[in-house]
Amino acid sequence: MVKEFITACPRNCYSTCSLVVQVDNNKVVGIKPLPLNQATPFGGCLKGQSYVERANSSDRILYPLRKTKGSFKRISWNEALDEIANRLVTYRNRFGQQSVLFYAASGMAGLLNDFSVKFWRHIYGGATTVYGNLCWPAGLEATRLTLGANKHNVPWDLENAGLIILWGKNPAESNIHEMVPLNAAIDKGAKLVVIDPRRTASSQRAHLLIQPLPSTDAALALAVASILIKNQWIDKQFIDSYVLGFEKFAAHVAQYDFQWASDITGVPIEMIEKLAWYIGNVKPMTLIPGYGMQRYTNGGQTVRTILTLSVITGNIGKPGACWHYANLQSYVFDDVLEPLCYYPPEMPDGVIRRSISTARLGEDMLTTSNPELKMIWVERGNPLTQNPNTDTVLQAFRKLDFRVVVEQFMTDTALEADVVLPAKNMFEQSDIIGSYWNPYIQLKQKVVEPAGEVKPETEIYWLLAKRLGFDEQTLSLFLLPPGDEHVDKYLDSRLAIFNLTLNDLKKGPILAPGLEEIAFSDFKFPTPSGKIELYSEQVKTLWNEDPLPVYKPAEELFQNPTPFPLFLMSPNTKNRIHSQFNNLKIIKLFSPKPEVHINPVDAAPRNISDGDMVEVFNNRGSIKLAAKVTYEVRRGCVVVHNGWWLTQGAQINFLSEGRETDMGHGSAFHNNRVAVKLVESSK
Amino acid sequence: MMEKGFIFDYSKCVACHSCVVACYNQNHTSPPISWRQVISGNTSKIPLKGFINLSMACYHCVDAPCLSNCPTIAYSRDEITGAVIHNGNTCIGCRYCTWACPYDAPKYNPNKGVIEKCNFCVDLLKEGGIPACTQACPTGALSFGSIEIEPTHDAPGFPEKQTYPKISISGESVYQNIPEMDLNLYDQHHTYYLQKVKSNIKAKEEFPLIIFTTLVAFLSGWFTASFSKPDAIKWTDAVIFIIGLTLAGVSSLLHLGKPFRAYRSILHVKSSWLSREILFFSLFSTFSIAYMVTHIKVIYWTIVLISVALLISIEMIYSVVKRRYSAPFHSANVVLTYMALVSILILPTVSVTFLVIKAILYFIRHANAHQDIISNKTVLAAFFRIIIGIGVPLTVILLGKVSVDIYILLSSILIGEFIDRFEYYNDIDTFSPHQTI
Repeated sequence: MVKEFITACPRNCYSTCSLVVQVDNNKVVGIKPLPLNQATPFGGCLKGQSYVERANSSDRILYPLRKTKGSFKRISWNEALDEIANRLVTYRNRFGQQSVLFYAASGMAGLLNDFSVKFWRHIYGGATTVYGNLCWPAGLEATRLTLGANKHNVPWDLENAGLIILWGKNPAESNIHEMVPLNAAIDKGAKLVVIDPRRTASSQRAHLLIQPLPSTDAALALAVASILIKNQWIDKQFIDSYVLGFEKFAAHVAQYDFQWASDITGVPIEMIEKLAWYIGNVKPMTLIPGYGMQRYTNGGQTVRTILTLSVITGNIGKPGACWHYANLQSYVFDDVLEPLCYYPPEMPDGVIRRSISTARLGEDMLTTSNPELKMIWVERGNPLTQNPNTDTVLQAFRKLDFRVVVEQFMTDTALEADVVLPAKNMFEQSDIIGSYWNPYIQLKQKVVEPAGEVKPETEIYWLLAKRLGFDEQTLSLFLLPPGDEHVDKYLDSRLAIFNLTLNDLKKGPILAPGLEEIAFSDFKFPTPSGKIELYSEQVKTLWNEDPLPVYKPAEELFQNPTPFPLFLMSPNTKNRIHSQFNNLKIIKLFSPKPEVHINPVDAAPRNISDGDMVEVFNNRGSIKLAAKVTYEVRRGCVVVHNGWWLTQGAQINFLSEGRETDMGHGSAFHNNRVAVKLVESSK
Repeated sequence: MMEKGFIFDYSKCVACHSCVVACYNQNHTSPPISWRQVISGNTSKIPLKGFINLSMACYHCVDAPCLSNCPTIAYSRDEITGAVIHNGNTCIGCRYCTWACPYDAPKYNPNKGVIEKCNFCVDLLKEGGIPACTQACPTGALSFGSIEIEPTHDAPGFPEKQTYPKISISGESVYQNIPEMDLNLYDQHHTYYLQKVKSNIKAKEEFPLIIFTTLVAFLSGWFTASFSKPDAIKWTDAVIFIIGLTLAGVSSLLHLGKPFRAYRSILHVKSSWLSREILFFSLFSTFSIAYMVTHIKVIYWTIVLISVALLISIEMIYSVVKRRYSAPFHSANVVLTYMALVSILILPTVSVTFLVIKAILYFIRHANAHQDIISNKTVLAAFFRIIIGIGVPLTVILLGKVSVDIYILLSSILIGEFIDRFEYYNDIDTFSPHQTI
């Protein structure tokens, strides 16, 4: 008898789809759409569909594993937890709690993740952890400093736009549900401009395609701003009412002409003028920046600069007009919103040592002292695939005494563990999730009992805490006791603030309390001045950057001469969420092996033909993979999709550097150049 | 005519493959086999051309070529939904439907030895649902509903062949959309990196068919010419003939995924040329052996008639494939081979005409093949085909020495014809959406 349940996808993805999951005899057998979510009115994506295989995969880790003499053996939970507890006590006694590094990433969203930190803080008494984030903080901080908050219009408002600019975003792969209102807008006559070094799937219906060199977007935006102001294609009234620092900004951009921008970006002058014409004359404009271009050392300033184009044309706070970067309106349960929650504390509390930068994970792990790191606990993450400068991360991992990884599958990181604990999947424990794109709070519902001996993290911590000598009474003050009733009770208690219950969420997604469908429609901007800050003193005081938006060449990328002539891009693919999903048979059908995309103009002098094995390398590392010769990528750039495991053939982060972005403590791991050479011809 | 069918909007499909995964979940297919696929036009994103995607499975055509051409009646039409259903239990794995279908819908499963394909999710349809793929599409590009059925569509991925597919389409003009872009970022040699579409029929994978068709043309010709006098048949000829028959029969069986079900293949003589071929081959084998045993003269003429029917059936089988050669006939045409062989053995002077025709057809074909590089293999093949396969017999005939050594003559012809027939399978292809998108 097939039963249907409402749930939501907790991946690190814009769409955060509402889904119906079909369960037969404790087995996930189908995934169906849930049109109650206005942002995901049709089906989920291929990854959502692939949960049927993912949940039932024979590759799943179902029991605790211990590595002995290089190979993993199944052990009991008692053995696993006893050893971990003993190690934790030993390290605490000999080196202090902060010799243990707790590392969690974005593998699965949910409120229950808070209990992990509670364990380390209140039960173990402290630990070392990371600050910053791999993903998007530079752009978040840029937006926060300019507009005061990270929010945008509801996704379906895109349909009202007259001009849509996809600036470094490829929703056809990374946010497929955005294609619904995007297509609706184009069907109604909207213009689509795509700015991307690649001719992406999202550019299929584009009217204008601008292909700047990676990391030079700020130069392009400054020239466009200059043209807009010179031609008076600006919203004077909007600027007078809501904008701080326009005069300074106008005087500042007057120096940037299109010849300057063209030389830097590689975009012809007439294309820059064309772009400016569209932005200045087609209204309303929704400007949709992606997250790739802010992962450069100039990422924050780049995003600030692009955002000025929405501001000076008055495309904020109106239907069809918004700055569509991140919509944190459904993150109603967070005390401190992103990006502020990523930052290291101004006053360390002596309990949790937040001293390791996510961007420099390997380097900082290696140099951390007093105490040195002895153990790592990894959950919801795969740092040996996803963190920059993997070679250093790997060294740091191997230097440790003991490694625990909580995982569903044998990732690159799990393979380096001493103990692997089987992780729950999204169907095995209820939780509540928000979304950084759609405006709903949703229930990710438990629909099956955990497979094998899988235990949710909340239960793992509970059992571990008992071994550390706590009685259940004390524990229940900090942790969640095992059992679904405790989960439900906890979630209900969090919902009660908004007069909501779990039963409400079981009927479908609920619009976030306090939602503004049109963000900033009240024209209140929570910046220090209460206005949109084109000139921001905070940029100077917080990040020691120019208070005006500027273009600064990204580190490493414009060294001349360089033995590494090609820009390396590592965008996401529809086939994965970062390093998740490509281990599935059905996903391998679409992406069987890693490839490097190279333009025929760059392939020919290197004697590279489609399908040849090539080496992509720089001074940090080297990977070997198949070449795909394609016009999709502009000349001068090569593309390897992010998220391949080393065991799947090629791991891109061996080539990337661990650096922080100019603001927001993001990771500037896109600042990479490489050389490519033929290894073996396929003919 | 209004019926339920697929509705597809090219302008909304970005090749996300959700539909393919939904099909996998619903029908438990084993990758890399997939009943649904997304094909794309201009995959290498050549500048000054648009690009396009088409999600497709079986269109459950009203005039379904798989159904009419299947020799075993493994295909049937579901009365309630109109779905074309394939029955794996009666399929012999001959893969002829994969040639007949212009939509690349039937998929051969080598592990099972039979074909499988989209079943329209009939179970879901009968419960009032819609096919899983159409429910899963995240952009609304693929959906399901009442449609007006047309003979075919003048759109990317559709054939000229009018099979009345159950799909309505829109948005194909997206293929013409080319954004304003900087063409200096690309070189001028666009054509070089055009993605080549591989042929679905490859000679090196079709040896059983090459052996079968060459032998059949050869044996039937030899029989017509040399076996007319029952009492004069040499026992060595009879033995070689029967060995040839056995080889042809075994080859045709080897080609099947399910050889033990081969008997089913004559069930569909009413509409399948493949059924007819197999029936006539069985009759040819049975009667010729009976003739050699009984020496009844009447049987000879029956066999000659059967031979002609058999050869015509073979040629008709290949009427569903796409010619990749320019000449009106292929030089390996089995009827032509038959005529050449018969005339060599009976009226050698006439046979010169047929051999010359074969040679001319061969040269026309190769002259028009636009091969950039003439490889050693091509030269070697041409040597055997022309010098051994045509030159030797022609010399022997012109010197009037046909009777010198009949076995050498027959062998040299056989070698030439075998090579030509091998090339024939590289010169044909199925009609497939990959070529028309």
